[in-house]
Amino acid sequence: MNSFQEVWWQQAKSDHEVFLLTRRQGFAQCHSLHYLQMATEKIAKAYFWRSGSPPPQKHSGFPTFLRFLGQIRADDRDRIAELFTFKRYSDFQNWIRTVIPIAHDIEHLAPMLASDGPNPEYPWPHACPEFVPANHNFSIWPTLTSGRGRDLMRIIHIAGDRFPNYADT
Amino acid sequence: MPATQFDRASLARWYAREHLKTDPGISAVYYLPTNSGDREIRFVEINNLIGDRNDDILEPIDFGIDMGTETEHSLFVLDVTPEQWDRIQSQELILPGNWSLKDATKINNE
Repeated sequence: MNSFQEVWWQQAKSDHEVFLLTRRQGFAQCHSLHYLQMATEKIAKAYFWRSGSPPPQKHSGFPTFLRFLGQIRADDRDRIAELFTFKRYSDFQNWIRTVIPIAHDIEHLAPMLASDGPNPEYPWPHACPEFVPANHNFSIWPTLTSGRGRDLMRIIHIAGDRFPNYADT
Repeated sequence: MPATQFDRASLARWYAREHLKTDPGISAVYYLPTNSGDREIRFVEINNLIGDRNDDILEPIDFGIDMGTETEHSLFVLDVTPEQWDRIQSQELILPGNWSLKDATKINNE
């Protein structure tokens, strides 16, 4: 892990800790979602800094990160599957395919990508603010709190905790 | 949330049925009251849509609900594969912390 990765990883872990805190304390959905989006964005950035150069603004988000993990070189596949608690790498690849839509929804919580609609940070729409994030039931919440969503939360936790073990992969 | 007074067992039944109704991967929900706090609902949910795992460390996901109100409580959900559930029952796989299958209740979607 290079020094650039280290700083992004540390911030990702801190964001994730706040996510856990807000989820456990039952804060408004917007706060949990905000920190989950931040944590996943930063763990992806930490990963893509492995070249030592700034990753592109686009195509370096959380869904792309998952896709990269699903396409690593053959020599590393068994190790990565085990690291992420899967028995076989093909199981991990299949799992990634099932959660990519949730990953996209998490990524699109960022205000810049929310198309002037629901986002966890700012009232919307921008030109005529009407809706309050803290009072909003986000459409992603039932998915995220379903079995598949909870499973994704566990893997996000592992992605942060075990980052040094795959940062260079 | 239908509860105005906190009734842990009936709330557990309500959550379990909601989960069974809305999540096609869940084949069974077990409510584990033993050793849990008064304001804590613990579930083991057997889920066919999560991939086979090699990790023997089981991690419940917890949510705080209605915090700061009379019905404040926490919901803990441990998702396991059918294979993991078999191993839990045969005590090859250990439940987290002081979780226990003693008095565990299977809640059906009725």
